[in-house]
Amino acid sequence: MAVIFLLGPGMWAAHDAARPEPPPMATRRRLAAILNAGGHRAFLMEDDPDRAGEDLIEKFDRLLRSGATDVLLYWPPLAKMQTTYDELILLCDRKELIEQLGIAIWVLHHVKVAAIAAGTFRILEKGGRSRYLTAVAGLGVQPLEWETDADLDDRVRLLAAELD
Amino acid sequence: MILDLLGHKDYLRILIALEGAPQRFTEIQKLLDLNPAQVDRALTFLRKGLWVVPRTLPAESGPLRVEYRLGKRGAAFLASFERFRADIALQERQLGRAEVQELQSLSR
Repeated sequence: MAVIFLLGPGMWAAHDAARPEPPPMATRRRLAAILNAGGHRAFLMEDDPDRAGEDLIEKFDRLLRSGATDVLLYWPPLAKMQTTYDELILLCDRKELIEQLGIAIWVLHHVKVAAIAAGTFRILEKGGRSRYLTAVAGLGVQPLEWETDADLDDRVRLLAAELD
Repeated sequence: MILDLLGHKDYLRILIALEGAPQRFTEIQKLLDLNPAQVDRALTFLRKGLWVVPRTLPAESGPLRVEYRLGKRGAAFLASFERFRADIALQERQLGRAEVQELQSLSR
């Protein structure tokens, strides 16, 4: 059974807040449910209760060290990414710990966010939005692309079968 | 999806090539003597079904190269395909030599 720390945004960007799809947080919960139905334990940082006196960094570290075997980063287009950027910086800063614990990083990215072409992983997000994903990809990640919600769910079902 | 896999010799050859160890795009291209478009098309299909799993190679800067390993689905498929291939060799008289040899030509 894999223990999956599911990262990613919670909301759409402010200029896109009115879009009809469920917010990214709801999608992450749906993905966690698919992984859990596949026999794994997937969790969101937001769903884990804060402990007294614990700040964001301490909580991140506690969850990363709580037996996580995989980190899954959900990256849709046009989401509000500020909190996710913070999480990605924390991931990059813990490169050695991640290697030491043997944690695999998966990036579940929309086709507008990144692409693999001719054997190279390219970030398609522009400017500052690309910086953090580029840094995380440099750690050695397993990218999985998706285009529609059905596509996304299908990819996560396949991932559930791939994980130990 | 399995029928698509069976219907494309390049897809099968790439899966077989990844059985031993992960390979990069250019390594697959050279090993199997395929052109970049063929490899790209095959890997796009194989990635989508998680028959293969891509992984970026750690890098501080510069292009993020990707290597591919056989996924669990790919390994399961190859195990079944190998049994089929071994069995079909026993039916050569009925199926015809050329047909059987076509399958045997997929090197392992």
